Amino acid sequence: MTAKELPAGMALGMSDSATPFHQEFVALFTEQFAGLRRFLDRLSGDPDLASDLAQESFVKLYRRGSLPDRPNAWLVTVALNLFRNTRSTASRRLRLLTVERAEHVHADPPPSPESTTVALDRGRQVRLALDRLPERDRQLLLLRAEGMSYRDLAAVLHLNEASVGTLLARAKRAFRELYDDAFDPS
Amino acid sequence: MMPSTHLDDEQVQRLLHNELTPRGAALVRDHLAGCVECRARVDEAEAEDDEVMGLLGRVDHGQPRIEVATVIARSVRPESTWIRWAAAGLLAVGLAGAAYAIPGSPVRGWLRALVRSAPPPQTVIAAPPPAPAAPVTGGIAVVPGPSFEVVFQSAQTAGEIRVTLTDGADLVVQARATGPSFTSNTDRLVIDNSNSAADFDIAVPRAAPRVEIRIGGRRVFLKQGSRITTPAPDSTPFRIPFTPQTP
Repeated sequence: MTAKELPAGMALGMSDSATPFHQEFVALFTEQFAGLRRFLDRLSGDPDLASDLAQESFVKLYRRGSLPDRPNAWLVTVALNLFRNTRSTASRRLRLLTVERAEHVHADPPPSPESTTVALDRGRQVRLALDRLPERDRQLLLLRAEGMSYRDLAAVLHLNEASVGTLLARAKRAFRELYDDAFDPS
Repeated sequence: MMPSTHLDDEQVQRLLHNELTPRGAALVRDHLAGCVECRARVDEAEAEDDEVMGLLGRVDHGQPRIEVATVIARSVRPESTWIRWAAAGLLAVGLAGAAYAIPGSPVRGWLRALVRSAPPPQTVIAAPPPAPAAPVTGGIAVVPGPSFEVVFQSAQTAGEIRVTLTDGADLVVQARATGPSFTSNTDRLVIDNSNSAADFDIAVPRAAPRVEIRIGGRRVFLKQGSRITTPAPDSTPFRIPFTPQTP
């Protein structure tokens, strides 16, 4: 057999599986993907969106062609930007529908406090508490839950590294209070 | 000696999360050794940390299985090449137009000479249309793993394999006759083509890191990254007969 070696043509920007970058990427994906997706799932409450955004973040990293100095912080920053873009698009759509939605909402009688309390299981309480937390506290808490270092937390959330611990303590207290308040529908 | 002030939130959290410097950790340990109040605060903070982290897990949904090969396949930008060509074309047209418009430009003379020297138009006899391909009667689409094999179990006495590269994420095999059956997993697709004379069309994702096609034990196509090794002529689709052709 006389084998010919041909370029694959349009495979621009693609890395060979044998390159160090490809191997590093695969290792990073194996190590970080589940955590990034879980963070986005907890942040958004939307598992499909979380999967999409986590994949898109890794797609952007692969297209970059090399690993940044702190890949974890880089990935989270990209994921948060994608999330903000998605949310602002959704928010624009929501504004267009606000009038119609408001009519429907006001047409229904509000649920009684008792039924609300009963309906709230723990998962929903946690969701409610997370949604009510200030955005920075929510992200701080969720990223720390994934084991992100204080240095990376400071970089991703634009914080003073020396005060990350203090902010974390406050965020946890605020979350705890909101979680307890979720029992109280008033 | 115990420091005069108690531990603050920053020190307590850093202690819990192993974020203290060695010197800071030593100071905190010294303080805790003699301060019951701060030990209680650390215990309380640790319990709160455990509780909050545990509560966060209550909003988790299941983790779907997402393969790295899928993400790599999505990373290929099919639009990038044609955008480059389109940009280059527009630039060339723009430059040519500008050169033509410059007063006294020799480009106008060259163009006139080119038009005069062009051969007269000839009657073009159209080639007969190609015979229609047999209809697709079976097939399979799989997302290839980092190293993927397509194995034909038999060397058919007739038929061929036509391989094209695509920008999609799936490796697609289509059979143009009934009979073959397919078995696959993430790194292998086995085609039972015994007693078949079918032609096969295989679409290989450009983004797939490694794809090998074999007929029995004979390798007839190998794509490694952007490199392709095949005995087929240098044209797409790569046409690979089941029976090796003698020169």
